[in-house]
Amino acid sequence: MDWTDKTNELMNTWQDAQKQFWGPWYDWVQSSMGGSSAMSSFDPTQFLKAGVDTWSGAAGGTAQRLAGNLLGNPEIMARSVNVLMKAWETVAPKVQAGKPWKPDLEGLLGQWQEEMSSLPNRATATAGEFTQLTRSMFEQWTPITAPWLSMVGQAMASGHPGAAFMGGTAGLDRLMGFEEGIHPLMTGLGELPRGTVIRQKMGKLLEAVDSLTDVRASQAEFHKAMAEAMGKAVEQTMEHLAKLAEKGEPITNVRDLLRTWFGVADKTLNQTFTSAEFMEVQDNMTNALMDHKVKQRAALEIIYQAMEIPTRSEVDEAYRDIHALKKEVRILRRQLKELTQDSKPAPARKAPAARRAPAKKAAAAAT
Amino acid sequence: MTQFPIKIRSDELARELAEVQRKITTGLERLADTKEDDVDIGSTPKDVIYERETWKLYHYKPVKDHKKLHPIPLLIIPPLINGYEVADLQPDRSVVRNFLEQGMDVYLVNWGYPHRGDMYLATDDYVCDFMDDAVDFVREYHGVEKTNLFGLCQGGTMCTCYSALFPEKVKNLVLTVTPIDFHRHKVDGKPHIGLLFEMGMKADVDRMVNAFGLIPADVLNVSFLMASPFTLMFGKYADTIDMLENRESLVNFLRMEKWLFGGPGVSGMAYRDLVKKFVQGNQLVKGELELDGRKVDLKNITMPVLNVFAERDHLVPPGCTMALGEHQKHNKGYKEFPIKTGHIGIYTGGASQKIMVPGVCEWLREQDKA
Repeated sequence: MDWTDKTNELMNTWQDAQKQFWGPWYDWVQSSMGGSSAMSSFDPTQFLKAGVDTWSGAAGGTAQRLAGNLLGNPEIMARSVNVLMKAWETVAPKVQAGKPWKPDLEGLLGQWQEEMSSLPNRATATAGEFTQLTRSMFEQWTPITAPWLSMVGQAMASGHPGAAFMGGTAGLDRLMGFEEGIHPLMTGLGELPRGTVIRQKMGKLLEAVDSLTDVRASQAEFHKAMAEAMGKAVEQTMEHLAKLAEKGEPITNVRDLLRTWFGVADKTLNQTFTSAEFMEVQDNMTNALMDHKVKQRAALEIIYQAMEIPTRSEVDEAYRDIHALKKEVRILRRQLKELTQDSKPAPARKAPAARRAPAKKAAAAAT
Repeated sequence: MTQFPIKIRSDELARELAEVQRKITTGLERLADTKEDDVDIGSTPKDVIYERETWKLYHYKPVKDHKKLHPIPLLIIPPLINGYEVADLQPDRSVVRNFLEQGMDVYLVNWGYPHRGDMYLATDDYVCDFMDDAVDFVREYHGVEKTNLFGLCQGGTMCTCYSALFPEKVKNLVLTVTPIDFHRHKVDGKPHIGLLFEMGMKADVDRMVNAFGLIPADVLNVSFLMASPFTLMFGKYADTIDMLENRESLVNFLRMEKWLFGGPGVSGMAYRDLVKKFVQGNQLVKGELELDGRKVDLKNITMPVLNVFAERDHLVPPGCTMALGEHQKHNKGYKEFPIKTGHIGIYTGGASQKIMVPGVCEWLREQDKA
């Protein structure tokens, strides 16, 4: 049989099996992927997103988080097999004919990468108005699927599949330090009467918004780099399959196919992650996110100050002073001790067998 | 002849998916019955003998007769990143429990969960104040002039600094998978080895500390996952499907998950020190590190040192650990103890349980006899 036919048969078998055994999950996976056109709507960073989504649900308890991971398994399985099948469909005829197959795959991956890379830009283009843009600071993060942003998305969400299944309602607001109350406040920022805000304050708000633009730009770059890395991973996996074809050592079950994919992908990603180019892109994105968080805080502090609520900066300053005082006390105590003990090494402070002394309390020792 | 490389028959595929579905369903039912208390970690009986600010000092209840206990107490210092429970993950995989079985009198510092208000705690606070306080307390409590120190990973780096600053209080120093030289992480052709240190080399940690104050554990976990994203985020859970029917295996898996993802955040200043002074600046081996205004000189470490490392460690590659030997040429009591395992496996692996603690205890007894 022709390898194209064999691949089609394999894909049909796979889809039938999914429908048969994972009914509701199958629908969910298909709808989340935009229908049956697996490759064109496949987002490489969805893999990472799904992983982060599940492990970041720790607030709901260890068993809940694992339940989330288990529920996510069919989705990951389906996504993985779909993308591999689609790529294999492209290269199979050439592999069978012993001809170069990489140019065909490159065409497919190029198209895929272009789609992925343009996602953040499309999102930005829809947010022209100031109000919309500030609102989008939170609402449009979720679709941008880099792991960092997924964490932010999770921070806004009320739970994850594991928590839902187990009846939990634990929120994940702790992630990235975005407290629950910030969302509505920031959403409303853009709606503040502009005439009542002095230029300097308005400047801070605009800086926060500008920093979001920087975040988006850096994320687009990160997205592109991830898409390229995932493209390489797919290519390497195809190469691995081609070698198996030559050796006559076929993969006979889905989980072995997935293990092959995960193993090859990890190896390829590791190489990418340690490249200077990728690290620069990653650092740029991390830095943009950090800057944005700082500028958000500065913008929020305008409101806190207006309401006579202590700001984060003021509280942190108090913490810094307390810490500095504690340190000063420690150094003075040490100097005093050295003076009184004539700098000799400290012997045991009490005679042996002083065990089972009552616990000292924090308050006594903390100063 | 070239063969089609994927031969998944429809009937076998159906059977495989049915099996996966059945196992997942069973697993979810089992998980629904699993309470958080069932997933107990750090469960070896102990007393809190001292507590202060974010941390506590534990004294584990000896399992041997007091007369048979080793006379020098053993103080375990965990890292600031990840919880102390790695040393006491499950009853049959517990470094702490093994030490007790060997007749050691075991103390441990649980650094706890720092809050935003602790964001200014730096390495010198931890080493020169908290650790020193813990060591003094153990010396007094136990009635000895010196104590044995046992450092876990970054806790070992802190023990190294402490021993260089306060050598008069340390009888023997035991380090496990401890980074000393942070610039010896690369292994040709193996990019996942030392990936964390590589990523840290150019990280703008000041920005991160400014943004967060307290570095959230989840941010740190992302870094760990980057070493093998697919395997750690998906492959591991796909393999879990096979252990769902065995309750004991499942609970043990959950214990590891709980430890991995339930760790504490890290004070911003301590994190800044770790990245800037240790990882980027490599100040410890360059002799440039200062804590509390005092230079940390590795030549001051003159007590016996046992440097335990994992040969398959991808987080702290052996080169980073063994570098201490070059700074211990003056010390005849310096010894290395390689174990064929990985970074976490050294504390939790079945084989390591039989090798590491007995080996360390034997070495300690030899030193303390001398």
